Amino acid sequence: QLMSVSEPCSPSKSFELVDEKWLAVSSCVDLADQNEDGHSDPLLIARLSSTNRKKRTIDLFLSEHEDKLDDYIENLRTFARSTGGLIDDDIRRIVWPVLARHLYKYEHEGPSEPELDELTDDDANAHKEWNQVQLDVHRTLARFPPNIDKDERDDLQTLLTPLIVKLISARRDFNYYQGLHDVFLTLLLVVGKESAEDVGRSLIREGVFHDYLSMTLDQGVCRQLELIYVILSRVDPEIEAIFRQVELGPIFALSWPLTWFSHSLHSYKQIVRVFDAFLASDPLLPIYFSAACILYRRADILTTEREMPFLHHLLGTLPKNLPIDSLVSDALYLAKLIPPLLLKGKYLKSYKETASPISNIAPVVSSISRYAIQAVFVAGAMSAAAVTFYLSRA
Amino acid sequence: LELYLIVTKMSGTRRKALLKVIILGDSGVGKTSLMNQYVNRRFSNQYKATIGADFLTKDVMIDDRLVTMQIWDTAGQERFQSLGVAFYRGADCCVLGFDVTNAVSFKSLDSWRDEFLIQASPRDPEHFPFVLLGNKIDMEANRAVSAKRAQSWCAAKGGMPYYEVSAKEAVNVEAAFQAIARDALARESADTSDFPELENNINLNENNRNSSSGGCNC
Repeated sequence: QLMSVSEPCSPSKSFELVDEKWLAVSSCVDLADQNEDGHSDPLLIARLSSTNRKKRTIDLFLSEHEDKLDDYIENLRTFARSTGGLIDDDIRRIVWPVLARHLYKYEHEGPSEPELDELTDDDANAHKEWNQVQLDVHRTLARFPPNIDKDERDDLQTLLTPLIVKLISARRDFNYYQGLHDVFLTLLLVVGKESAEDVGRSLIREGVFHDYLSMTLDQGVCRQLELIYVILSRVDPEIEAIFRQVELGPIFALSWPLTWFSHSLHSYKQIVRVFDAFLASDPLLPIYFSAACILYRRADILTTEREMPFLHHLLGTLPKNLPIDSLVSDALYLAKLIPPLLLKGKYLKSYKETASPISNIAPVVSSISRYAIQAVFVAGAMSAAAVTFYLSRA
Repeated sequence: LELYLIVTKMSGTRRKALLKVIILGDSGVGKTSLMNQYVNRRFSNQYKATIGADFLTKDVMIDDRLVTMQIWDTAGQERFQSLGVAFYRGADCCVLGFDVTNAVSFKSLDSWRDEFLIQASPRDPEHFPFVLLGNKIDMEANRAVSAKRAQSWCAAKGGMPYYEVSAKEAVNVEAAFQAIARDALARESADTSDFPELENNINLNENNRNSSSGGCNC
């Protein structure tokens, strides 16, 4: 059956309206303040007032625990993962630095080298990666939300290159890759220069970006991308078999984990929403989110010509109106269904044993029960708590 | 015998309906811009750095033959080079690009060419069609690589065709890609296949290829 995991197969009008509204206000300004003007759609109104309520709840929480937010990391993570994420940038500016101080533990696979003193802003331009970073930073015009004028944009671009070079200069074996600039631009836009430095430092020293910077792409990100196939083989073997049959490879998804989707998602609003979730979750959540994006496009995949170029192009180009919140739920649900440790261990091992690289034969790994997968559909519209409830009962 | 020849020619024609072209070169030389200028006839300063690879297609008439060009654009940073090789296979022509205002990008051409030959391993590497594009000639005042220098590099590579182009101002881009299509096509009909081991694969997918138009809607 041609059905996405999160949405009905033909989106209702109300869904489109919500998406339009959300895209229209994609900017640094508070989304919830854009009121229900002109729209009488009940779903839209419900969603906006729900968002407003969540914003008030978070605001209240933040003011109550202003001095000791680090003690409430689980509450902040729950806000960041659940529907709507952290809602607006005023909240993100406060919460992202806290989330970044308490990233999920990530076992680095790359080598551990002693840290060097970071370069200062003045000597950063002598660094070997300066030119490449500069080149990429100059090509970020499309990334800026519409409410930022040219002067402000120029200022931010001027800050971005030394910021990146300075942070990667802390380790001799850190090699810049194209796409890191997208991550840092997002940080800069949301939390400003001072905090962007702290959040960024944490992400590249403690977080998953450590491995992307210190390993080759083949050894680092590509091995993670393989996990997408492992997930698919367990939840949608038909799709996985198609990918393998056409020798699709993993490159269509390359920029997704490398940039936390900031290179491929089309609106600022969507990007900061996934950053909320990624900062508050297991470092492999971007991989589960990648799988969720693919599963969502099941119908498109099945109706596309079975050739590598066409599938590569289809999947690499994300639709503008992705239901990000539902996909975040789906990703979190997948991560509960196939926990990261099992995914990297047992599931990967059995996938490698059974899924031959070129054959047309479907893999013989047993998929997770259809019932559980259908629950993903439900999960898309439910809170994480409800998912936990389902799992504990199942 | 005559019938046999006709059949061979027909199947040859069908197989050649798709020309796969790959653009290689250093980061920032304008690979994405060149592709978009040729396919969509527009230039934008909003292009992002390419991460991974993607393609656009364009249908062109070459001497009364309808040919679909599938043009692959790849990431320019060296770190990504090993990942791009998945897309080299089956290429009918390799377009090397450099920025005439950036001498480093010119010096890298040798390694891009070598890497392509090694990874794609065409059957007749000596005659595999390469084309060199020197981009950004609209910035003449900043030129760092003279046309003469580029031409002599091309001559040393067995007479590789060289075009000076500007993706920004649409100078020579159309002509260069037309020539690329023509060369690749001419060579294809003179030769059997550069990638004999892929023959089966190509034939299996023949029907799909002929009806394909994907990839050009962006």
